[in-house]
Amino acid sequence: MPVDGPLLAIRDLDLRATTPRGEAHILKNIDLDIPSDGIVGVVGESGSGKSSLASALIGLLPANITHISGQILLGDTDLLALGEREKQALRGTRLAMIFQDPMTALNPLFSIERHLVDVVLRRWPGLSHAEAVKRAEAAIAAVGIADARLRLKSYPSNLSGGMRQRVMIAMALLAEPDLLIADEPTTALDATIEAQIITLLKELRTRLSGSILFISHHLGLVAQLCERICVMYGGTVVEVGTSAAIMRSPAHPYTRALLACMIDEAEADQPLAFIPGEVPDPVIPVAGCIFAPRCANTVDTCRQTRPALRDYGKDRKAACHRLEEIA
Amino acid sequence: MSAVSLSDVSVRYGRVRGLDGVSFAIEAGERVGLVGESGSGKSTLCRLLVGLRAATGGEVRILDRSIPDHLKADPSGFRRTVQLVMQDALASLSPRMRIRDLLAEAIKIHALPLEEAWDWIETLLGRLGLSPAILDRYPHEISGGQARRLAILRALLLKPRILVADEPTAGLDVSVQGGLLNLLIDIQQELSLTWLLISHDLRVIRRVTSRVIVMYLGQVVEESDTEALFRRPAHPYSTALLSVDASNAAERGARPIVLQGEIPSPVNPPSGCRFHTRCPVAKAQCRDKMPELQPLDGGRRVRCHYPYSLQFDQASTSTFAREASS
Repeated sequence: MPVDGPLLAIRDLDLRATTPRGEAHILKNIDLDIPSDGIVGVVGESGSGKSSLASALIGLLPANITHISGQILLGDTDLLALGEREKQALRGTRLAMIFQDPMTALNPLFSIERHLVDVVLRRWPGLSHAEAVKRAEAAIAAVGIADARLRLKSYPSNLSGGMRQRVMIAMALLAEPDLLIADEPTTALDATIEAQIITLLKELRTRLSGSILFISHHLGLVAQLCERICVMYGGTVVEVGTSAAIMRSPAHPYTRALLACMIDEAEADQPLAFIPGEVPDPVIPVAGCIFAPRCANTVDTCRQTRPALRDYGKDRKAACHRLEEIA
Repeated sequence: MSAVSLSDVSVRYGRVRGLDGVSFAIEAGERVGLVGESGSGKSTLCRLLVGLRAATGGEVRILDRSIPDHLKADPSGFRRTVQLVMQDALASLSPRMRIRDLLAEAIKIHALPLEEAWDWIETLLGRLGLSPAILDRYPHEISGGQARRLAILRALLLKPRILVADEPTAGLDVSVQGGLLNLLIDIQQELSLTWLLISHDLRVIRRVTSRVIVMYLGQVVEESDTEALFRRPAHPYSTALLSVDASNAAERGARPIVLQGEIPSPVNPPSGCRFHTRCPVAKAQCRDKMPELQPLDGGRRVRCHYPYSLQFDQASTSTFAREASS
């Protein structure tokens, strides 16, 4: 980690939204640092708030948001304090995003060249069109697409899902952002193609000057790719630490249970591991620990008081009252 | 008598070869897994087995009678015998009907004894962890997880002898899918169901099934006892597929084998072995001559000229291989 502080600091981020069933508490006092060089993984299941966190960072929250507070500090700038025009100026320059479904993220009426050239010219308005095309071609080659010049003339519908995701990554690279947010970028892809994209992201990580925030429901995948992991559950951060430490000895009961469900070490004739109960409903307020109803270690305190995210050992934080007792 | 048997089955959609020379059998009461990526023919196979699509070549027999014969003699009896749980659970429930009416329709069509059928529904609701109040809701009023369970309930309502489940846990959170699968295994054993499970989740396949069929571009490339396959796959495609599965890789400490290139189009499949364009160990023969699905040791069959030529790469130590103590 660099000495001069994180690239992005999320402080006490709180987010609420209206739904037909009442007000939902989407994010609850999120604190997270993203170092200025490296790749951080955010893991969570449905309703954990991981995608809302991404939307808040890039400034593309849906219209039903009723409350947002806290800070998202990019250097000295608080992104939440910016106007729409200022936020727009950051997108595609300092911040960029890769989405889950590359088909809907690309415009079907524009060629691949147009997509890429637009990004280049937005970032460097002074460049000539010919120079922009040259950079686009180089970017396409850099993400492992053969016949770059030919492919520039293709349209999104001519490309496979894996190719489209490579194009999305090329666009993100051309922007040379300080922070690249990748929201489930491989979920829509087949397993062998997913492996290619993960390998590509691993290679790019060393060439990229900025940081990557990689969002996924898949703990195993995140651990493969990221140096640090942030585990989210029910709109809160329950554990943050290095991938190696979290995979070796998860501290929070939820992380432990999730790991047991994903990397299954039980005998073949034993039942499959699962966490009893269901993910919390964001519309129902919770007084104590958000995981208490499904946790095997719950005591009265857990139901009454919300645990704060606190230091636990070196370079690790977790939000649980009983970390020491259950270790 | 096999519950399901396919011999040299092909399905063509115009120029697309959905299935090509597929042969296998499933014994009654067996749990068999089917794995493969886009274009491998999994979904075509599902539709074929429930009679939603006819084979353009070869024969599919269910309980020793061909599907066309079943459909001619007793179509609704055939539908009671084989049930399909579709991948998109919510889309498989009519949006204009309450859950109760959706279920009542099936009871009416199949003229099931009313009281017995509703008793069975009540039992299934309880087992699946669904409240009876759900019967009065419309599909848009229920969650994705509930829709999944209802789709399974509707399939089991007819007490089928063969269940074809296309990704029954897709879209479910990993923390809850284990519970649903445990329940399905229990019910499968109680009813001696024959169960074909299609899943991209290899962990699920490994834990739920005793035999696995691996498909690539419309063909069976390997068929094996599940544990034997996971320990030592024979086909290079199986090896690569198993190696990139994060949970599997973590457990073995093996480096993922990343295949080059895209999955080819089933409109114009490669010559020779269909996998040769992406196979890391392909030789000249693979380009020219299509391998047959041939028997190996232990009841295994593989479609490869050089079985066992690609093995897991154990050279690297994975950064997150879990310590035995944790």
